[in-house]
Parts: sequence; C-alpha cells; structure tokens
Amino acid sequence: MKNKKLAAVAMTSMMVLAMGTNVCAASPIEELQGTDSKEVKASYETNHEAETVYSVDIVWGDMQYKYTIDSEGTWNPENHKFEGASEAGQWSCNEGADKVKVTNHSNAAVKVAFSYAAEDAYKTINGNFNKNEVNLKTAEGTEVGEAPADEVQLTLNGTLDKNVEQPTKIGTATVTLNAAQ
Amino acid sequence: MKNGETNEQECLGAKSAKSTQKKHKMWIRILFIILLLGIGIMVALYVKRSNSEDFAPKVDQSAEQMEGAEDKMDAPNGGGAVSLTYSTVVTVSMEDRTAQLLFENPSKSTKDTSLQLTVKGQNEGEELLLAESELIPAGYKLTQMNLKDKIDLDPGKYEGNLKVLYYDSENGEKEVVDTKIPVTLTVNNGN
Repeated sequence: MKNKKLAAVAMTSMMVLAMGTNVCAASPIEELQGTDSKEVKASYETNHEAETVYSVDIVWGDMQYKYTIDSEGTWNPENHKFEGASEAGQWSCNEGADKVKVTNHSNAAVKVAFSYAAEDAYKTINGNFNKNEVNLKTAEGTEVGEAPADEVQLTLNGTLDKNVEQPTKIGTATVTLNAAQ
Repeated sequence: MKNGETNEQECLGAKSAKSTQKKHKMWIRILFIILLLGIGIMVALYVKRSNSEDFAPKVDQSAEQMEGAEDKMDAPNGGGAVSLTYSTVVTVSMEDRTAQLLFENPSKSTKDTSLQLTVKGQNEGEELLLAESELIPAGYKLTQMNLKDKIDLDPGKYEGNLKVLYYDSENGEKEVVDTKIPVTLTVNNGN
C-alpha cells in the first residue's frame, strides 16, 4: 500500500513537471504569469554599395550690366575740368540677368561657392555675390522638382571707362562645387 | 587703194580685238587676285578664331555621345543652363599617360563645355595643368583625357581641380561663367 502511494506521488510529480513550460532564457521566468524580454537586433549589409553620383544644375542670367553716369558735366576750357559732373555712376541690369541658381540632384550634399574675377584691364571693377557659399542637402528622399536649390545675385561696383561703349567682357563668375563634409 | 584700205581696216580690227582681249585678261587677273585676297582673309580669320581662347575648340575625339535626347532646360534670355554629372575621383596612369574620369554634359544643357584638369602645386594658389580636353558638346560625355607631354607625377594621391568652361552652342563664344570641381587624383604607374 505504501509502495502504491509512493508510486502515485512520483507519477503525479512527473505529470506536473511535464505540464510545465520549458523556457530557454538568460533570465528564466521563475513564476507563473511572469514576463521577460530580449532585445531584437538587426544590422544592414549590402553586396553592392551605391556610389556617390554628383549631378548639379547651374542656371545663369546673361550677366550683362550697364554703367550709367547721370551727367558728364560741362567742359570748362579755363581750368580744363568738367564742371557739374556726377560723382559716381550706377550699375544696372535686366531682371534676372545677375542671378545664378544651383540645384543639387546628387545623392550627397554639395557645398557651392561663388566668386568673381575681373579681367586684367578691368581690375578696378569688383564683383560680389550676396552669398559666397550655400549648402545644398542631398537630393536623396526628395522629388525631382523639389531638389535642394539656392539662388545668388552678383553685384558690381567700381567705375567703367566711357570708352567701353559695346558690351565687353570685364570678368568671370566661378561656381565651385565642393563635396560637403 | 581699196586693198590698202581693207588691209588697214583689218589691221585696225585685229588691233582692236587684241586690245579687247588684253582688257579681258587684265580684268580676269584683277578678279583672281581679289578672290585670292578674300580667301586669304577668310582663312586668316578662321585660324585666328580657332586659336583664340575666347571661342570653342573642335569636338574632342574622345567625347562619347550619350543615349537619349532630352528637352532643353529653361535658360534666361542670353544666359545659360547646364546639368553636369561628374565624379570627384580621377585616376591617372603615368604609363598610359591618361586620366580616367567621369564627366557628362547631357543633351538638355544649353551650352557646350570643355575641361581643364589641374593639380595643386607646392606653393599656395599654384596649379599645374595636367590635361585639357577639346569641346564636349551637349549630349556627350568624357571618361578619358590625355596628359600633357611634360607632366610627370610620382604615384600617390593629389588634390586637384576640374575646371569646366562653357561655350555658346551656336556661335562658339566662351561664356562669362565657369565651374570648378575639386577632385582627388590617384596617380599610378599603370601597375
């Protein structure tokens, strides 16, 4: 009778243990209705990394300016001087003629620098852009029509000799396309 | 008497005909000289324009035509619009005396281009011209340039610039805007 009881207890224990849930965890759940969590991790890998493709649009106006002096004055033969002449002339151009627009279609950011260099015969005339440098973000993630873009304006100052009556090249505007760090 | 008069008239006629022929020949010579002068002036102007830096060079033989034609970009009146695709990496082989690069001037650009590849010198602001292309019209790309004869670089990495010059597609005049692209040159001996 005693043996039968022992056997029954053993078998019952085995059944209870078999009904339990085996948990393979670093921190095993030690009580019923307990919880545990484990970080799920992932990493990116590619067999063919996309290279950086630089593609930039540059649009510029006709860059034709006019230097106008209101009055050259009146020549006075007694002192060999012009009297009543305007002190300084004004630089002007058509709408948009002095603009440069840059659009970045690259899958990387671009840092664009703007500079002006005068021709040797016109070193007294300076050209300045309202922005010397603009940063254009990568086009990745943008629509083609909404690519990162910016526009700058070139302003001239200085005096142009009255002998220059026809449109004459006085300098060059340079757009430098740097890879943004 | 009549024979004498006839002879005299024949002589006068012959003389007149000779005189007319001489005049014709003289006019032909004058016209020929004028024609030669005109041809000479035209040739001189063409040579001057070809050698001038203010006008486009001839099309680069290494330029490759790109596939597909696109509508031209909108450009302001008298201005320009270009779309450049390029790489900032240039590989120079001293054995082949070539520079491998990527530069594309797609057909939608309104200007033609040419390239100047330079390397920075030891002194600040100094740049050495390594290679210069001929014209790369809109719709063409360039992947190789030939080094200038006296260029000799040791293997290694150098900083340089790719200068892009623009020209009017119709009259070949050089534009007052240009572009500079800083590049990294890797020089090898072709091994």
